[in-house]
Amino acid sequence: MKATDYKLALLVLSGGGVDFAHLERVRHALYYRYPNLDLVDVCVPDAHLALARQALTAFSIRGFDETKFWEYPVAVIVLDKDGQGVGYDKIDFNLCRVYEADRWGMLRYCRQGLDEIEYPHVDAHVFNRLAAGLGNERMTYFPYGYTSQYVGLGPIDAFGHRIAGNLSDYAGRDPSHVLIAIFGGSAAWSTHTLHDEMFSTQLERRLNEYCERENSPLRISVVNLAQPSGVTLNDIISYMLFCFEAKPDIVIAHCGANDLAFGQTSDRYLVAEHKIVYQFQFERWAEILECGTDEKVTDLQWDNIPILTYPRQILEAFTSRIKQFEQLVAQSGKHFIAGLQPMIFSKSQYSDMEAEWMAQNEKIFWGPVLKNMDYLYAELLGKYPTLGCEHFVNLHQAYGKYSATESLFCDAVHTTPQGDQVIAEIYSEYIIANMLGHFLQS
Amino acid sequence: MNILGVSFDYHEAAAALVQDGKVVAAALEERFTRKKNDPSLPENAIQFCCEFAGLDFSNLDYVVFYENTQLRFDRILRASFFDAHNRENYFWPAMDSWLSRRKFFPEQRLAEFLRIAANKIKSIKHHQAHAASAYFCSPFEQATVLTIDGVGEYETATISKAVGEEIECLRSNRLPHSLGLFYSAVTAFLGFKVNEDEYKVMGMAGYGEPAYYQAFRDMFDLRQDGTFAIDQQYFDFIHPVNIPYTTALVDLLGAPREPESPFLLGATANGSDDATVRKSKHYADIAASAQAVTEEVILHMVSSAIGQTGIRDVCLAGGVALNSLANGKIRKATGGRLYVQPAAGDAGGALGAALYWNACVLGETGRKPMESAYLGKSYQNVDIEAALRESFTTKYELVLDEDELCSRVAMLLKKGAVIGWLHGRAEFGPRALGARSILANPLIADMQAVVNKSIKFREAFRPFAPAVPEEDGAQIFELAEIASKMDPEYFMLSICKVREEFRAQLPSITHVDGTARVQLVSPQTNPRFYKLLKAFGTLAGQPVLLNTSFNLRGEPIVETPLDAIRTFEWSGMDYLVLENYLIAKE
Repeated sequence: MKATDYKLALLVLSGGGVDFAHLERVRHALYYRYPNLDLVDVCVPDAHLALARQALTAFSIRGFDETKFWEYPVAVIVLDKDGQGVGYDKIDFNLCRVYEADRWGMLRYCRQGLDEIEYPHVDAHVFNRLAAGLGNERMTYFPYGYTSQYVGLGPIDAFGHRIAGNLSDYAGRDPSHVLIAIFGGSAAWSTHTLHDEMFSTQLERRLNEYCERENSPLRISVVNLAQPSGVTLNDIISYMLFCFEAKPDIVIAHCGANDLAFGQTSDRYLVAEHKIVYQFQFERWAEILECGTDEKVTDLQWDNIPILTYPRQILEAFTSRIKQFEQLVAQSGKHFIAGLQPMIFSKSQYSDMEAEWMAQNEKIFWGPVLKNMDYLYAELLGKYPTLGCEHFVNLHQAYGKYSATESLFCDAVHTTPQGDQVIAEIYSEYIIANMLGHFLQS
Repeated sequence: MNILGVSFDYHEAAAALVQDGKVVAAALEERFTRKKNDPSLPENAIQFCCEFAGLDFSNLDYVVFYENTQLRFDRILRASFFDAHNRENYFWPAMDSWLSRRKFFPEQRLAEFLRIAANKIKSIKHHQAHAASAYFCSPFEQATVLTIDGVGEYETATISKAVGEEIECLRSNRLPHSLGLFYSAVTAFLGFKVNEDEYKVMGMAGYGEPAYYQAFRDMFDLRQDGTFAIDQQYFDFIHPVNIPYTTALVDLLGAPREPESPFLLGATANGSDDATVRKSKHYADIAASAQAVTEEVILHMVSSAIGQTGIRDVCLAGGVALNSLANGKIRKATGGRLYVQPAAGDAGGALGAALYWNACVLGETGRKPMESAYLGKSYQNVDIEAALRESFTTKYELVLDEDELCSRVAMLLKKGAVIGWLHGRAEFGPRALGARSILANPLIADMQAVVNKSIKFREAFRPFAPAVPEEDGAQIFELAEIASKMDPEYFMLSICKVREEFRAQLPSITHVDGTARVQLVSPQTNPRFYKLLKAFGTLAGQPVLLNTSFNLRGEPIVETPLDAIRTFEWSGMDYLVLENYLIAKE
């Protein structure tokens, strides 16, 4: 069956205290996968039925006893705040496509296999096909592949970019059609937002609203070419690979965290002498290729990764590559914005949700690398106040005005939909103030 | 006679080599493995000690472990096995650790590692090791010896009389009555790490008043013979699972301090909200009260012990002996001389184990006092050049002339540079004494904040220590009478007042209560550091430097040149001196 053939889905709640907006978001996410769903039903254990019906009046809710689980080809178990769900014993996993929806409303397919519903472009080219064959052993960050990325948040292309359609469609566009391309890592890719929530979509919407308000002839499109875990060197390669026809008018490198994190774990010689920063998982590839063995010689993980380099080397590598990226874009006569992405410590105070995350994960997330990040940010801005770029947007600083009342982070790096909204606001203000006029003149 | 002493399996693993009664080498394992308080079998430290002396392991006559493992296990068994709750929560988890890490058989593990006959491996009792580490390293021919720590096998403190080669234990305190564990419980209550952050309580105490003195004092029953008992309703010292205090202590003092919560008093409190300042004052008062009672208990023990032995000269060891505030008071109160083992914690147990075996068991005479703490490893130019290459450090100079090096470094310090300094053999013990130090100009008003915030990344309330040439010390500090170069002031182990007229001039090393943990530097034990202080005095007007340990927060003090480069690079230090190499931030 194709995704479009599915008509019926079931949301399984564990209790009555589910937030309406959360459930709507889960349903929304489901439609990204199954666009032709006619009906999404909701069920809850009988003990919680009354409470659920009271809280979620917009939904028709059944108790478990009256729910015919076997009738649904798609089911979503909505996890509670502690990550617990119910109904697993009532669903036949062989007949039903089962997902879990986490506290952020993200859907995870309970089977890890690759198929065209989860990965709509898995058969598009050889590298995706090869990765599909590897099952759960697929290699993280392999070029041209996208199968280790999240799916189901909205449109995605054969390379894992969160865009609908083809970039080549933008080639030869009208001069009044301004194309903005976003580069960066998972924070720019926006791992915790649905397609219409991510900051690139919000940015496009805001800029077009502005143009409409101002009776400007300009039309704006924003494409998200970020890659989870990507560093600036990856962005440069992506830019050359994917933008040579579309030639975006504005390139935004929304970056910082990955360069400074992987900069700590990359080989000291490569960073110090050649400004090469890479994901440490690459070392495993080399091991497989060079050693010809399945046996792991190195088993680098965030929690055991040694820190090999020094701040000056990391910062030089990062700023050199950003400068290189800027030059590359400028050579095409286009505009470049270096945006220093915010991290959780950018905020003046954590919200309860952020504080809870920090308390539980601060020592786990990115292992020893995370604790150096605020120092590196401070050193970076001390030594390279604009990263050496003509257009610089300091989102890290801008986030400083947000405190405990706003929950902008899901973890140390990745923003909530509200966090993405702030980013979109800041970039749109900068572009309106500094760049849109240029396009009108030309 | 080559005797290796070792301590491990609890915290602060270490090794020390005694040759014919003289301590020739000693090192903490954490310095090599880079794991703070590493408790593992100190393979690297042992290797270093033997290499330093040019020995193969087979040349060792004895290897002495610092603790009686059977007694320690017996304590744990008796304390927790016969009660279902404690058996579940304390005994079995403890046994997991004992079995998986083979803690039952330290002697066997040593024999396996060293590949020597098992009959060469010996062990003594924990407090015997501490007592020996103090007395046999002291300059005294006879002494009153006190050991005070958390707990050894059963003992938590001892009073001994030492004469010649003999140490006779007169009294001992037994678990659960432990001054060390009392102080650790307060450390935990104040949101700090037990067995690691006790000195932060001392720093915090300076900001408080002993408002809870009576509450703490009432917990202690001080006895005529120098021993004491602690009211156990407030603590769980025998089988602590998570925290070593009970809800009764919380009822008495209020909620414990959250780790890393803001502590804002004195200069750091400007503009802060009243609630935070009030809270900080409350916790500072608790620290001050616990400190006051701790000092009183120690002074009671010391005076009672002197009464029993009839000997005014006192030796101290055990973790509590690192309480430099208390040591300062003892210096004033007893009128006699005081020797504190510089590695007073469990690391010093390695030293004491070897010395005890040498003198008390083998009866060897002709012991040699420990005149300096520079017992660790040193590094040569070839090591430094390799580290510079490996770290891709290019901006450095080789300054061969020592006078020139010292005057250039002094000039940089005068201008406000913060400098990492690695020279000679590493210190044995927790204090940096000018071999692995971070140095700065204490005459600069905000230098304490600069070093705390940008270099050490630690709490703003924590004070820094000054180093001063020995002959200049009394002019600036209210020192007790200096009797020998082994007095606590030479090892940064005693706190004294900064003279009133110098406090404003030396804000970075003067604690909020007007005190400082001074280090006197002699030209005999560290000539280069002495020379640097003198050069700085000539340029800046006062021969005093801010001297703090060369490490980042939560890390061990640096050992190798590469460790030093790494720490330098990852902090706000401006220059690094590796022996004769002067390195600037690029």
